[in-house]
Amino acid sequence: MPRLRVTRRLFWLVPLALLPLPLYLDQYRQYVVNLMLMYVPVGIGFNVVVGNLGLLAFSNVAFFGIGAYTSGVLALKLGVPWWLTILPAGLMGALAGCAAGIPALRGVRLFYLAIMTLAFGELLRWVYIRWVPVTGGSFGMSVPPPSVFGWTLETEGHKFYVFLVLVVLMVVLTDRVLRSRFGRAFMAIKDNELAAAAMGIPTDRYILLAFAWGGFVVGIGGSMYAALVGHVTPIAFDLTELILEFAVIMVGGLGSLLGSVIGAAVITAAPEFFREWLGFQELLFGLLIIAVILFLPRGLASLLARLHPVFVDRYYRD
Amino acid sequence: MHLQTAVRAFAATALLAAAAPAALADNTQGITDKTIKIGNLGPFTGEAAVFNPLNYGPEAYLRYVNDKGGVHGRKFETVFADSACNEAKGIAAAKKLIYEDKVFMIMGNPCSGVAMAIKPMLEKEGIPWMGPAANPKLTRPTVPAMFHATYTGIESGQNMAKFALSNPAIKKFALIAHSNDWAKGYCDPAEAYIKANGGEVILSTAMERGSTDATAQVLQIKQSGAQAVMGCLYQHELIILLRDMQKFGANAVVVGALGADFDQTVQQVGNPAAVRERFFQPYQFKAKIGSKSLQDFHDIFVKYLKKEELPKAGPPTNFYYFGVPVGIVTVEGFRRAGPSPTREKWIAAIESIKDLDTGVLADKVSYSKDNHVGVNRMFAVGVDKDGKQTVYTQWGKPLPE
Repeated sequence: MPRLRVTRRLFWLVPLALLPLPLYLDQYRQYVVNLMLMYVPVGIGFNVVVGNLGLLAFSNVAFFGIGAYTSGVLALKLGVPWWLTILPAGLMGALAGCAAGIPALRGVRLFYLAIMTLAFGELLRWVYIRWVPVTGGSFGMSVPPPSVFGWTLETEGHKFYVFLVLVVLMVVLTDRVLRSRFGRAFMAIKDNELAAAAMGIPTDRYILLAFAWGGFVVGIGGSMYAALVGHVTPIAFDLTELILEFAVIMVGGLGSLLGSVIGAAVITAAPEFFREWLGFQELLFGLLIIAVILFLPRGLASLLARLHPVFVDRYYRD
Repeated sequence: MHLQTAVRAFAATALLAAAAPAALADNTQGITDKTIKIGNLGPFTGEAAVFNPLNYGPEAYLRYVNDKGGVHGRKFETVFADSACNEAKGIAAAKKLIYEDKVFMIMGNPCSGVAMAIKPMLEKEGIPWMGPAANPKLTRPTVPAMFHATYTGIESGQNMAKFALSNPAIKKFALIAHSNDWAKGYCDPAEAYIKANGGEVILSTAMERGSTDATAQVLQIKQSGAQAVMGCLYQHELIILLRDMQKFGANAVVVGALGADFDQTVQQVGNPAAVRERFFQPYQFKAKIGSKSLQDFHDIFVKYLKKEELPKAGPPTNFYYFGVPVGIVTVEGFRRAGPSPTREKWIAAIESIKDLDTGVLADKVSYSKDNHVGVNRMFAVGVDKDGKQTVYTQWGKPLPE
């Protein structure tokens, strides 16, 4: 077995090492950790479209909202246990991904695509606000406490274990996708779409697939949001949220799976570290992002990649 | 250690952690012999930071009380926490206050979304909350530890209609509102009040956020013969409505919701004739801001707030005064709870408050076990025939200076 492959297996120790965390963290710190975990799929999905496929599409917050509302509506209106709403939330996110990807199939690119996908997110926010009987309108909806197999996740520690499983699943599955011919096709499209098409890669199909997968993963993140926050409102899925999600992948590393994980952790934790400096939080947070982008344009993941080849993203099977 | 053994050890730890129940906050958390620790939760960053005077108002009052010796020998110690009016951040901020800073209670919190998001946690932990957030669902139905020190959308909406109906000549109403729950929060109680008190709603129409023209709505209002319009609109759209009503000669009176600043609205309409004896708003205070009656509060704000907590220019504005009752009622709870306060004693003390004059609000504060919204009565503010801003107790009756 190649040595690098063996070393990569050590990655499995990371979630295992995290298991005892709830024993040491209070509810606040545990909540922040859960928030980090929630942003991992959100960053991964965004990175697949923007980083791996290379399309400037800003519909991520729409998928996130769709996921959260799907879980919220199913749990609140139909009494479906939260764990059974996770997959539908992902599927709705994938569906929204397909819808958001349609302009890209029509050849819309760059800023035009950015504006169209932004509009898509705003359109969905309009739906959340107006479809009052289902979404609860501007005041939103309070989601019942999440449960898994009849067991209510009462504490942040309980939620942590379920979130950890979901995050590991999303990381592993996305890793598989990116290391398959799909991932290589995304990369080819990113590098030169015309050349990829000339080589026989059905670019339309792969673009739609990337959007769908991105939407699915982010939709799962949305479902986690509904479980974690317990209250879903349209304002949670606005432009500010989109900027935050964009910061996750920019700081972590564009097109890097590991970067999505690191970005989610850093972007979620940093404001909490700066919480004590009331009034200066935004300034410090902004400076951190500028510093990372200025000195590490490929994100924090590139720093690790320099340390050891095990951290380099792969697009091939071992 | 083999990997398998390590995995087993970790799994066992995880099971232990999962089985461990969360420790509930004890009922004297945040109280020492010398101090009472209070969490002041609000939007100190982001777009919604304009609302943070609602946090500094009560803070100024706590500092004033500290300066006078505190309550039962204890001084208030405030821990500020930023919610940015974002639910996810707001929960983090509230959890930090409760589990790390170990505060006795949370006050401030003007953002309804955040307040609704932290409500289940407050209920579970029994953490008292005293705030100005407008969503009536926070305290209706009554939640044991949550109290509104100021008006919710229900009181404001009812008072909009009540003021118009205090003119015996006004019977026919038009409702114009944004298609959102904020507007519904004002217009629904207004409509119910109108119907219950002999008025008639003859037109209900929408004006969306971002509208730049109200011609269609104004012509509808004119054609309907409505004598008063309940304008459940934000400032920008309210200004457009008032301008267009003047332009098309629609004579109905407009009573606006609290989503607009009265002074700025009058100023930005830019035509005295469009607002003089035509435009009114519910008014929360017992006197005009800047008058002698509220001078003490002005002085408290200026003396006890730091430079960065005060407006960059000009005197403290409406929101400072609107926030201060949160501090006054909170302190009153501690006075009544006695020298050994617990959460239960504080809650019982608040529920025992009847007709407390805050010195700032138009109404006296009263609570009971079934009513956790302290105030109801509001005045109205308008521009009189001489172009002077006037506070009215009812139609045509100015509040004595």
